[in-house]
Amino acid sequence: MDPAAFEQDALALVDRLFAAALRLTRNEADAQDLVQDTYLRAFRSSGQFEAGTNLRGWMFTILHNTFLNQRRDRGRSPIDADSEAVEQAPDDRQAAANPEELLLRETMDADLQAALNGLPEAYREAVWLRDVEQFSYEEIAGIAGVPIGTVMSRISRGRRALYDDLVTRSGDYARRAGAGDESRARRV
Amino acid sequence: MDSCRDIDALMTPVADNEAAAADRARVEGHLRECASCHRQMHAEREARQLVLERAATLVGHAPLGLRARCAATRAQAAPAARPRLPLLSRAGWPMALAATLVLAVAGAAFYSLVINPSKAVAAQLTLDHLKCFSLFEEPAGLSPAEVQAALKARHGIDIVLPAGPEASGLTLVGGRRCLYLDGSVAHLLYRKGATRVSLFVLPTGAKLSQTDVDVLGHSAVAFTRGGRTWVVLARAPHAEMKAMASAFGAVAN
Repeated sequence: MDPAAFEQDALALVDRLFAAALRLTRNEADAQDLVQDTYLRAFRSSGQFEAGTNLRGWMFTILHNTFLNQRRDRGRSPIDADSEAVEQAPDDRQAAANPEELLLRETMDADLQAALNGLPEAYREAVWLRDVEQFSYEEIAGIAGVPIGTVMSRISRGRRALYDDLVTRSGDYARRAGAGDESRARRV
Repeated sequence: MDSCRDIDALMTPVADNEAAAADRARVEGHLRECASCHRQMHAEREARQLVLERAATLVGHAPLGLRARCAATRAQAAPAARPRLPLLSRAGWPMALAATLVLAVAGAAFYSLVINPSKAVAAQLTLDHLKCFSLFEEPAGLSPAEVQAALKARHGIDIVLPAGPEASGLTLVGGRRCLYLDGSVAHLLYRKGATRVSLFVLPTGAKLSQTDVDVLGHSAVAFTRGGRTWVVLARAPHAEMKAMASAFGAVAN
């Protein structure tokens, strides 16, 4: 692929890669480092990229691997949600009552960001790649290097945990606002 | 009836509308009978919908300058592939300037721009000055003729570089094209000892309403030469700014 065209196409992804990096690192300075490192690696191996194939998936794969390498190099503890035990753990949370869930869509962005950040890392990444980036299950499996079944399990559990967290947060608003009445429930 | 475990594995593709019709029917049938799975599916659909709706907001924008720093990693990755002349046609961060300008189009017969406030322009030029020096300076120096020819050939910017700055100790160390408004701005990078000096050449017809502006610890001095507005920008005392403007061809009042 023409280097100038590769560079242009790759750099067009900087906003999306930064957003994903921010979700992975939960820290702006680390996210910037991660994205720069990702581009450095991408340019170094740009000869391996085949024009016409999925550049976005390729860049996100580099981002994912670079993140794992950086964390390993920095000696942080491994992620809990990657362990087999967590993958196999029973998913027995109770869903919330109806009036509170109606407030879900009114959740402030800050709450959504906080709730996403509160997810275990593997779930957070899977939900982000699926629902924000809209990658296919196969693409996510390729990016994260896990089987498709694991991808779907992570998405599912991540979404449910996100929902629980948001309902808890919006439940606070509901109690404050007395928003559990039926008229509101019917309106939404 | 399917077990809850069987159905659990199908919930995500059903929520994503990607399940086969038979699987969808199995799940929907189970959900009618099982309140627990129904709640789980509801949670998954609600969270999915919320994130989908907020996706654009969640992505947002990368910090100013990150794109330029990422672009600069290309040089680190393959130093041999980098052209010696740091004249780049990349559009990018200067585009943000357009949003900071208040434009008044004056005159019915001639296309003319009056840029106001000048401080906003000077602030953007200062940011470009800082970034370009950190990324694109050629410490060995460049030939004015080479830069002039490259600006014309690559970007269609037809300007005559001032002939006199060398005598005043100003060395040409870079040249770029930045995209401003609906035209191209030539950005020439000079060194005078430790001082970094930028010379911007605005598109034909664009003017600054103020000729002397101090912003972000830098001073900008604008003058007209050859029908265009030129802006000298540096962190330097006012008298030195005037002297440099003269060296670049400004005519004293």
